[in-house]
Amino acid sequence: MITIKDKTLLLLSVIGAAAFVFLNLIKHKPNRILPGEPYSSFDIFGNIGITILLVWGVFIVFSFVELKHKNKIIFILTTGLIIALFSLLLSNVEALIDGQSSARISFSAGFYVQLFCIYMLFSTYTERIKNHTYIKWIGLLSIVGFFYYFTNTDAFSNLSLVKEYTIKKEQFYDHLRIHALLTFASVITGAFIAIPLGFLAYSRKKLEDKIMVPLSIIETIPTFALFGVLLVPLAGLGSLPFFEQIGVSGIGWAPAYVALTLYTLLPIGRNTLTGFHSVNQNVIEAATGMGMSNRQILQKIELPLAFPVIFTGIRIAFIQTIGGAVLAGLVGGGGMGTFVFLGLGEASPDLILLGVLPIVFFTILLDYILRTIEKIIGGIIYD
Amino acid sequence: MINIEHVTKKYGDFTAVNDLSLTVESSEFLVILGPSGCGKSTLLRLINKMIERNDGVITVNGENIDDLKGVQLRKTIGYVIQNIGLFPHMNVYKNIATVPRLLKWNEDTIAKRVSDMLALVGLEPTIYQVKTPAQLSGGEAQRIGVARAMASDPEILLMDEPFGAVDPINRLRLQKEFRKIQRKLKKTVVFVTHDTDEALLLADRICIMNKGEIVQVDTPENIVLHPKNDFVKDFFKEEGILTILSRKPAVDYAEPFELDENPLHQDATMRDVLLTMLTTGQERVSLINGSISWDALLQIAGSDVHDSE
Repeated sequence: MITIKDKTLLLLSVIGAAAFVFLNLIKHKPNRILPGEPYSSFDIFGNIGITILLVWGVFIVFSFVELKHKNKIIFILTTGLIIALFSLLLSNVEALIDGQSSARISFSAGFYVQLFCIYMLFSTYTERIKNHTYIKWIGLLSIVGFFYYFTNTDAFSNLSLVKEYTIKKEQFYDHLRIHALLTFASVITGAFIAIPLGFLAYSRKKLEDKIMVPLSIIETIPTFALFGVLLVPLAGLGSLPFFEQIGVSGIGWAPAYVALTLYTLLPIGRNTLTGFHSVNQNVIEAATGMGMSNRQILQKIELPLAFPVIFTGIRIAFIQTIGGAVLAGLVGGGGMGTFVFLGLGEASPDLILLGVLPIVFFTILLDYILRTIEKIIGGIIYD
Repeated sequence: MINIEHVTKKYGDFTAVNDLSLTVESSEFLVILGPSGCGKSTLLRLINKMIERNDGVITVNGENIDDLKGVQLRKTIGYVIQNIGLFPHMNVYKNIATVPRLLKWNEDTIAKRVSDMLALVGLEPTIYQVKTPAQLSGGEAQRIGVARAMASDPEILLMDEPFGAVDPINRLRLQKEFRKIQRKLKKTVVFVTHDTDEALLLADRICIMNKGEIVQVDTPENIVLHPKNDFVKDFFKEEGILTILSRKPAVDYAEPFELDENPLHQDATMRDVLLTMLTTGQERVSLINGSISWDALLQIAGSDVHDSE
């Protein structure tokens, strides 16, 4: 009787193997605009590449058996898989390009699906390794080292994505900065508005609906419509001397900033309210009975106990806003959305990806950082 | 110590406490007993101004509580509730240190006080002061709750069903220990409960309430033996007398008549004596300092049981 021992592993390795076999790995385009010719994993990787398929197969087998040191073995194999995938790919596309300077390589679904599965495996099994943690660091360092080595060669330069990046290098960092600025400014402004609102909704029961319902309504307004609504008042505001000076107008960063801020109000406000509600009434009763003033109860009891939930709201707002800030590109507000909409206009998927991939990367990174901060804060609040 | 005169508290049309007067003596253990919704918790919370009354006068230690700020008053009165309400984000030390810190004691005095309080409630200070509330059992948490309430050495303790959430075995132990502590430190305690056994075991006097009014205030013995009306009688059923017996240490009533058999242990109560008689069929039970006869037992249980019926 065969039983599945590890469902995560089975699912990811089956998808990975299927992507290897059935989906196209890359497209070879003679220039930026022409559609290009698809190549499968077999075409690109050749005979050595079969080992990659073999690893996927080994993973499938592993998900049916009990194995000592399974987490470590899978982690090591996954690390190898990442390095093998990229090095085989990079060394084989060279021949395909054959010196034509306008030719380029775009990744196709087969590549992205395999990369996604490998990433999921990597993050899952990194977390599961509990002892001999130095293995994690060896794995991580070898991947970083590998990429560092290749960025110093021109191996990546044939990739369409890298070509787009090289052309738009300066704009890329400008827009990355604008994107980060928009995100942080919106969430921080949102926090300054929504935390007091959430607290007000908590402390004045009558105001709860009057505060929370509008916040929910804002959240349901499509971004496009919100930009439309904001156009007139912001244009009006922009005609006043001070606001004109700082560049407020119906389009540009101002509507993006205002809209993104408005969207953060619900997650932060709702979590503030929930956070305060989650403080046990007995605890407050005991504090009152011991002679703490309302202010002391708020400072020493309610706020510390509610804070982890409020911070979760801020984290959710951050993740939501990093993605949402793409739409600033629509109204000339800058940010990574600029590349996305430019790419859409030029029917260039790689330009779109140039905008999207950093967002994905920073979302994952920021989520990880904020979760770590969340844990640290929890540790400080709770003895 | 606490004087309550013609106090009324209304919630809309509902009268929770109705024109009630009661005096709590210094060092007295007064238990307010009654069914749920009788207004006993409300009465307790009126004393420390957790809620404002509609009418009447309350004085604590000779001072009208209207002359004091609620926050000031409550710092001088210990308060323990059923679900304890330990602060989950603070360790045991900080929990117990709460009121001393509010009173701005210096930290050395507080550290010593916390340690003393833990020892008082029977918990090893070095082990327990660093624990968090999540690491405590129900009984331990309740002890900490009592220790916290007494940390600033208040003369008065208000307790609202403090042992209600503890399992029966631990509850009995906590009750006995707390009674000892109260005797030793001579605190004035106002203790709210709906548990008749608890009331009979702990109280110097019991105040029975119903529908916002006092039905009877008296010693446990008198209440069991001379219930004022059917409400009180029904409330205690017929078993109250057993609890009364369990309040009486058997050695206090020993007759100088040695029996040649194994005596009951030193802490045996009159209730144990009765149970021994019923199970063994003996008419005289041996004690470490003599013995007790069936007739003596009857007399102790209430020479006046017959008068009351």
